Amino acid sequence: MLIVTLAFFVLMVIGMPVAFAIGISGALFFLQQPALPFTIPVQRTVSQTQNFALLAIPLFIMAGSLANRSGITQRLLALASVITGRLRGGLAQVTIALSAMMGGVSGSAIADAAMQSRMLGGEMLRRNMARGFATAILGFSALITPIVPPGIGMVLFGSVGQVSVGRLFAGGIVPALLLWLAFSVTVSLIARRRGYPPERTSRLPRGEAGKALRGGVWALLFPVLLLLGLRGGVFTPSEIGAFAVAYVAAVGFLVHREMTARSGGEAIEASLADVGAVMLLIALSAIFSYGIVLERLPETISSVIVGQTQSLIGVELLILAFVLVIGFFVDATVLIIMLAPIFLPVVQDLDGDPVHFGIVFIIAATIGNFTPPVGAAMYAVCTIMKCPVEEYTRGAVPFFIAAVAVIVLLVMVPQLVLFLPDALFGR
Amino acid sequence: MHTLFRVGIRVETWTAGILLVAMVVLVLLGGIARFLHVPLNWTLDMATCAFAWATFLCADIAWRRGALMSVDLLMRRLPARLQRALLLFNYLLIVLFLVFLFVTGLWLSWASWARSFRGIPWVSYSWVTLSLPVGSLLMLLTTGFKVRRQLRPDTHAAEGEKASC
Repeated sequence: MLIVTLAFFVLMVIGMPVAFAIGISGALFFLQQPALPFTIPVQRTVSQTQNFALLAIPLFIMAGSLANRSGITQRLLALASVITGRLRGGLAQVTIALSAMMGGVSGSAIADAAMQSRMLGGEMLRRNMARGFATAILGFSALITPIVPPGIGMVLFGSVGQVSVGRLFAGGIVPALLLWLAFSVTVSLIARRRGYPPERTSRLPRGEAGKALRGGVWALLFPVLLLLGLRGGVFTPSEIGAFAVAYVAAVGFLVHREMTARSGGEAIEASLADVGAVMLLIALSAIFSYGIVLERLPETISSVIVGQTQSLIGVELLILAFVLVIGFFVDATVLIIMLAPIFLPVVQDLDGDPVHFGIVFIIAATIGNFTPPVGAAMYAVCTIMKCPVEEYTRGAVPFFIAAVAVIVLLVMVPQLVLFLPDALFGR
Repeated sequence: MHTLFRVGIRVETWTAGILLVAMVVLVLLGGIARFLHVPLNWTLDMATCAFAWATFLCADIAWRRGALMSVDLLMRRLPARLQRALLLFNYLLIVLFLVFLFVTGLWLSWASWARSFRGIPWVSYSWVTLSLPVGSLLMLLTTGFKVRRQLRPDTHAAEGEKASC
């Protein structure tokens, strides 16, 4: 596996698309082991697409694309401005609130970061915000999106780690609100020093708030319906993706009356490449993970970690620090697929809760999308905002620290994650 | 040749889109049927079959449109000639890998024709397995076009992003 891992990093450095880098380096393992049937890579790749839980992922991507053309995004933007209008930092506060609320219909941090940069980025610069600061918060705020149910990372973690997706969804809500709070406070502090004013200074005209809330209610209702539906057994985790698409389409066609057959078709067409990019990565990673299991890598790494410290909190912090560091070079999807099956057993051996660990792990892994030198969400926002990576990095440091602070808090107080899933689904 | 190529892309795009929509419809149908206490087992099976085909068709679409994530941090700092050499080297490895998936996938589909799909005796699992060799073949074609574009440097700037739409 050492050669396989090395090959993976070498291929990545020379610019090989990550999906192929995983598949090709994973296939090297089979060249080293002539005793293994050479059909296994093909079987593993195909079997990923026969996984009921993963079925939800392409459909979430489609739902997110449809949301942008169904009037949901625009209404949430109006609501986000109303909610955060009096806070220092103006549009920087708006983008945080919008990310949190979009999380209910979209599950992808990268898509959310890109969309918001297009919607809000230009206006932030026109209001004299520093480019690095604006770009960094447009990116980092999207960390909240996949933590609010439904999220692709949670589906993936649930599938690799055999953890209930419903419980993970419920477990994400409080951490998402904490991230919102942490980012909002960070923006306020920076805005006070640099003199970024609030969006408005006077009270809203009567009726404005109610109007904005009515507009956003359909999107806000979705995660609630989703959790209640899962709790009540109305649908199963493999059906949530289809349910999300149907819901977003119904809101766009029937409630907002903004979507047409044509724009719906365009939204689907636009999501095809994203579906392909994510699913090819997931499918080919099955070749790679075969070697991880066969060489008993989890056991080896587990003994190394437990040799350092025996306390659950210590082990978790150690693992998360490792994930953050690897996250500088690798993105969330890859981190979850490759590292979750290695680290989850370690934590469970020490009686750690898989849902609690899942949520903190997903947050730490998702940060990898935003950290230089390699981060898909970072690339997206920097390209759209025409921001050099160095400037972005300086702007991002406070938000990175804020996110890490939330992770440490969640590790110290597991009940913050667990009380909601426990209340909804029982212990 | 160019018209054929364009028609092929349209067919691929439409098929992939229809497969995704079919997945939504099939899964919803299954859910509604179960809710009404008349469970339909075949809906989820059909949906996962569509999932396999959608995955590898969309993978080719992503590859052609340049939507597969890669790390170009180091690459961009190298001299142009070396960049191109590395790019062609990557394409070569990808071609070898795809040929492996194509041949093995085809062989597996043929050899395991008797394996039934989710216990349905008259549907072979090979209908699912075939999605990978077919997808690999499409990606091989796409890679071929990418290589050709690189080897004709006079046109590659002009064709660049346009061809990817």
